[in-house]
Amino acid sequence: MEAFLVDIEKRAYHMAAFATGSHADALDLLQDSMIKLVTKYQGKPSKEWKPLFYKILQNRIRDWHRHQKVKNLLFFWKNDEVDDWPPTNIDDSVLDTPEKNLAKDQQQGAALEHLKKLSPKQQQCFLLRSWEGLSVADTADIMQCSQGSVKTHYFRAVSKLRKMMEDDHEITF
Amino acid sequence: MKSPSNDVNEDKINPKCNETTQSVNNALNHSVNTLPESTLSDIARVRTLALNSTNIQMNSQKTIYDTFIAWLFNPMINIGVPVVAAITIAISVKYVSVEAIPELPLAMMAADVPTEDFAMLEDLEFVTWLAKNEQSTLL
Repeated sequence: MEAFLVDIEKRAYHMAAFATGSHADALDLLQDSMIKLVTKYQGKPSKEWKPLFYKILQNRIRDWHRHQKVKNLLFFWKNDEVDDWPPTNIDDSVLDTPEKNLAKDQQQGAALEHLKKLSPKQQQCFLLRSWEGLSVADTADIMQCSQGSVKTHYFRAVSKLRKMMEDDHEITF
Repeated sequence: MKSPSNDVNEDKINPKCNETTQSVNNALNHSVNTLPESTLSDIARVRTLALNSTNIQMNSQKTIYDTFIAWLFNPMINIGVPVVAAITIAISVKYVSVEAIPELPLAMMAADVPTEDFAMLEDLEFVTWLAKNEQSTLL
């Protein structure tokens, strides 16, 4: 279980962070999801852990969005949303030559910003399908929608991303 | 009208063949690989907490089990439970034997009984009571 969590934690954190836009909230969601997986589903076969974990995480993210909606309705005069994701201070030490990698770094930063602009469902669908490489069936099960909806969300997400990237960099794929 | 999902071709949006998805995936992988140390330590702390939660739960379950076993073999419980059960059975048997209050005749409830009849009944009861009293004084 520990090896599985080590393997998946950074990606899961990224998903939660993209959904919430906050480091602290992402950590809370990640912790809740991990605790639930460990306490409830540790006895399940290890191949089932990944879709189970992402299902738990997606449920937590959905609950978080609901709470935010209610919170915003009740305290409409307050605007205390913390939006500190993606982080702007990327660790430069990992780059071999900063000058050479500057353009690439900026492009990757822009790609993350574009991903953040997608609707929550499109964003999560893209992350699960494209980044995590989950099947349409698994993604549909995790997102609790039909396979057709998953295909639609994914198609629209890719189309939007492509358009935004073309607009930014005038690149034609 | 066809639904939008039918228009989507799986091959057309295959992640491996799509430069857009590749580009975003690369950016995501790069972001994962360049996470700040503070974030990594936070994630590791969260993982440790989650893994420890199993041990905590197992320990708490063991404690509950031990408490139950200790309670079960407590001498006070061994004596007290049969005594309480016996008292409960005795009380319930006694209360079952209490006669139920007889119901009023349906005819009395349904029909309109004139007030004169009630007066006559009351007189009759009084006379019967007097006769009983006289008999008892004579005896």
